Amino acid sequence: MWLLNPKHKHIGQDTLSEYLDGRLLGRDLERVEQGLEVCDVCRLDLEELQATVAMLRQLPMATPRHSFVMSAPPPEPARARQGQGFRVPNWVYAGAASVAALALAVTVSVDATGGLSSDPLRRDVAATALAPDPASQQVTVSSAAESELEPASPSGSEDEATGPPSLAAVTLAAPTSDTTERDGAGAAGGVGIETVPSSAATPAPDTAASPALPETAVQDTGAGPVESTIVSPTAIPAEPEDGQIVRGPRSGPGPASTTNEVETAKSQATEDSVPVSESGELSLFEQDGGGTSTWWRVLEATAGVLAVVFLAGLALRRRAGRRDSA
Amino acid sequence: MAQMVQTTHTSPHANLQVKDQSGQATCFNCVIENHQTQAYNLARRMQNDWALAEDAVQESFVSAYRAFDRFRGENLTAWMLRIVSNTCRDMLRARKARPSVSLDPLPTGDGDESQGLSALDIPSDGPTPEDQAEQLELRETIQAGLDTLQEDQRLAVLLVDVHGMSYEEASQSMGCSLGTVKSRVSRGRGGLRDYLRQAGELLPSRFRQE
Repeated sequence: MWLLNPKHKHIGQDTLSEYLDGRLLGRDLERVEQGLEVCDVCRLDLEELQATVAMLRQLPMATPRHSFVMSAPPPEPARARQGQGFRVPNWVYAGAASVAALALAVTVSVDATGGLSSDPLRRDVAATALAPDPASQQVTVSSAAESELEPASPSGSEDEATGPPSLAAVTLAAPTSDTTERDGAGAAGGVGIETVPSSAATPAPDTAASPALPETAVQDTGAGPVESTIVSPTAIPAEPEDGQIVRGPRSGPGPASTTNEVETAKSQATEDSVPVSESGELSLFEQDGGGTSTWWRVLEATAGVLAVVFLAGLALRRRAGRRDSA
Repeated sequence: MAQMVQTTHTSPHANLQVKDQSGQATCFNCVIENHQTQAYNLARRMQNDWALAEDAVQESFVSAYRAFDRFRGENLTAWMLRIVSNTCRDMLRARKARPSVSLDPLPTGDGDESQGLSALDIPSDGPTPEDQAEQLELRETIQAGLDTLQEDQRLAVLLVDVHGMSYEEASQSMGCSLGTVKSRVSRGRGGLRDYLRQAGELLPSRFRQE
């Protein structure tokens, strides 16, 4: 019959399915009913669809062979039980790892620069190096280096006395000795000669400009003439003074290193004479600083280990989270 | 209309209290008793394997117990069947990825309800053995036709035509829109109709015995 109406379009499957379920209303319903009246094909489609749905709806419900009622609560998943110890949020791990990494970076950098070393001299070097005028430091250093070949001469001390108040001079004592060691190792023929000028350069300003020294230096040193006794010509070749300069910071910062207590200076001079003559200032510093930097190394290692541990914990947490979400 | 099973509490059970998202306490074993038949039939028709269906239902109830605090108290049947269907789909994917042969003994014909589609669905009184054989054959054909459908279409047809859900309930259970449910139901019915037609199960009404 649908051939009699060439404008008829067969009813779509979706529409027939909705019609079967009674979900068509209004004009849609009228249109489908009119199509079903005039089209045998649409009617046959509907009949087959109805038969299919009827078969499905007649399928009986099987009874399960046993009840699924639980006699006890199901156990928690194994992952959850294992993860109870890791209830800490991820951001705690990330933050702790960041802090540990930062601590590691700080300790390593400090150790590399020596600025915050446990050695008081190095600490003071780093702390006071920025205070004076760099230009004046250069002058002082150069003058000290030049005066190395004229150890402990009064004129040298007078020249130094004209320089700036010798915090800078003293604070640069260690680098000065390094440079002079490089420059004049062959000419001076030994560390003792190189190091003496630094000690000779410092006593002079102390004696000449001791009033200009900071109060702390004055308090630490006590008196200027102490250095003059240390830098006496008889002590010129003696390395102990040089060692004393470097090790001086034990008893006082900065310039005070050159003006240690007389008794301790003398005793230390004898004590330090051997290592200084063998290895020079740097090795002495390392030797001395080795003991004090041991804990610093331990601190570095601890920070590194903590950073690794927290990063590993964070990685494990994320992997566990991915497993749970999957 | 699909047969809706009303389960009564015939045996005492452990009182497993669970709370939904609103804090309302519910006896979870009562939930199981009320939904285990539907869950089992849905799983069995999705899996076409009674043993796997039991595993799926067991796993689904455990999952539902653990996740009950996320249930928002809307339609418990739709929520439960959604968990069952998700579990079945996961198991089907795993089975496709790792095809295996079950080591469980094949069901025997001793009237055990655990056996396959046949004896489970046959009422104990009424039809003759010939009728039972015909019904068994028809159900096996229907199940074979369902197996040819896509998973989403099969699930939609089962929820709407076998379990008697409305489109809205099916959309909740399947987690998709109403239009998607309509489309899946229509295509699933059409696919099954084509299969049954080829199998000779769909005869014109004038040739059909009522």
